[in-house]
Amino acid sequence: MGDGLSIHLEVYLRFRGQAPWRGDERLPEGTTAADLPRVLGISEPGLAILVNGRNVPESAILRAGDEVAVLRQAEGGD
Amino acid sequence: MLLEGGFAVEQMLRIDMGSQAARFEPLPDCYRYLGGRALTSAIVSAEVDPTCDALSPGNKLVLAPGLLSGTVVSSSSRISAGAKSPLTGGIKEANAGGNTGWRLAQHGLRAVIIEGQATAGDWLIAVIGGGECRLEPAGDLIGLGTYAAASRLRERFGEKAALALIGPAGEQLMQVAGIANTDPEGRPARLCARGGLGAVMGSKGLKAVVVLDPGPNVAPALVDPALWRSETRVYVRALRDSPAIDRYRKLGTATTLEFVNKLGGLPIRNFSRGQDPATEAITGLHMAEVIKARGGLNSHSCMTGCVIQCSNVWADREGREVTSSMEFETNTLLGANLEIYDFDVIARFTEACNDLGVDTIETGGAIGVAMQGGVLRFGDVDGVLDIFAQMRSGGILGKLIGAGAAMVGRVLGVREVPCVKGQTMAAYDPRVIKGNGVTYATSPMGADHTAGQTIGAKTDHLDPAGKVALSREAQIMAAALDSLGFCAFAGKIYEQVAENIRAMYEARFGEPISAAQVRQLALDTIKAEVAFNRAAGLGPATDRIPEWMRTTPLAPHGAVFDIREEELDRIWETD
Repeated sequence: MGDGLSIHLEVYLRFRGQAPWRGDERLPEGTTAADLPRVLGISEPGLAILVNGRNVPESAILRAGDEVAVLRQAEGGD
Repeated sequence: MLLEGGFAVEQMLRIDMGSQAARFEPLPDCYRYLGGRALTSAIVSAEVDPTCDALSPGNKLVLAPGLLSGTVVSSSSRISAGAKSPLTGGIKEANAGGNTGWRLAQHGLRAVIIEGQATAGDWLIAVIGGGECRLEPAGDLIGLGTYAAASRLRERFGEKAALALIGPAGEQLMQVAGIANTDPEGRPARLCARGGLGAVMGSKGLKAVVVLDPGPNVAPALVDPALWRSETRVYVRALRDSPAIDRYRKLGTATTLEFVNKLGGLPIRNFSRGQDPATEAITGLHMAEVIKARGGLNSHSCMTGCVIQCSNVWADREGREVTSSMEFETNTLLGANLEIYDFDVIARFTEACNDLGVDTIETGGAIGVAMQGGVLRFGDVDGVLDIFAQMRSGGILGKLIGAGAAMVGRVLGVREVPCVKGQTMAAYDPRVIKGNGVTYATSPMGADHTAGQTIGAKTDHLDPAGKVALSREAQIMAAALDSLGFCAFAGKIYEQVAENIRAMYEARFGEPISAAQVRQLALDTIKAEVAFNRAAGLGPATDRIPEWMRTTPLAPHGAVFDIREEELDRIWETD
């Protein structure tokens, strides 16, 4: 593992005392979309991880400079 | 109601508005295992000429609770309204929560068929209870908004009566008009909103259907009550324990806004952008905090017994109730789509729409097109309030918006109209949320996300691959839930509770039903609806996303709707 990578992160939950939280975040190299909540210490289930505005496979490895959003997966009803 | 062994005998009620006569009919065998959308669409297909004028005496409005409705088992008593739609020109089913479905099923009524037309100028209400249906003059209810009308009806018929009623928009035959159903506290805030079915009810001369409280512990007959109790217990426990459901209980649907905004598919400024930082002011995350701080309700049941409680009550700065409920679709179509980013304003708009008895999606879409056409500027709050005032008074601008977004586009020469089959899209731009785009294009319901919602799929929504299949399965699931009487959010755990729901069916009817039979019920319903539309003149060329959305890229992704027409045309060919 190298020095890690930096992403721009937005968390649409109450996180680190803010809601939403935004900032640059350093992550270990090789962090996947599925890893991210655990790495950030977020335990809420059912989250969507969007990378550059798109759903990605859980196994997708995050890359330096990615814009990553952590949101609650939700939908409008009827 | 007719009683047999202590249970209501299942019947249909037919109300002829022309002769002002109501009669109860035995439930035909062919309808015994149909409910909700499956039943409204079957009756409309059998009894309505597809080529008729939707506002003529020949059209019929059918109200039907779901197959498993009639108890306080959570989220299982939605009411379906069906007819030929004056907005789309095709068949329509719009369903809602509230207590109408529960009450009708308690009375043993599987369907209420409203046909004919009262003499012009005559307005009636239908009062159902005690084994009869009385038609009475609507009198001073005419011209009243849904809240005032509901209040008077509840004073007269009791607070436990369920109401399905129209507001001034339905009285004026506006194509944005829905049918409002009362929630457990009597708010007429749960609309069978889409497709202009309130105008069909208005064309009949019917202001309200009042369904009286039949008394305690009245429910449809169960063949196996013990099985019903055990299976419903498991089902309700699953709803209570599900993290996916818990989210709706705490936050409603409103957090969908930040999700779709980040995906780049949120309708902003008449569907011209898919993302905007200004939407930060109307996120669901923010909304929940404001509701909590002001003493509103973040959790509220729209129908008796619901444990999902995705509804909410918005309060003003002094803590006084303004409206129920603030939803994602409304916050977007009456907010971001109009470049209005203020919850207090959107709450006033929502209350006004509920009181007029209109679909907030179609109304927001129509106002967005009017803004594009220069009638008022984007962000013009007072201009929107003036439109609502004119919708109430019958002013020409109110009439124009009341005709829906497609008509507004034609009148104003606006090409950017976000409609399929004349109906406004919900709050997912099809250029980005392509599965919903397939639903908009191919559903016999027109551009209606509730007919096949795909936003929850773990998929790259921008990628056109696989979206026809995704939409197809979502449409089948929606038709199944709409026919059984269940809310779409109960469908969030359908895979987990499918066996319990099928066992509930067996407990209710004494017949088993397989997963394949549930699927077939849904498919048969959709195919019958497509056949009605074809006979009504809605050919495959109407199963299309509008050309401008296939050619005009949407920021920030530069996306267009690019699913091939041949794929759309084949969606119902398999099975």
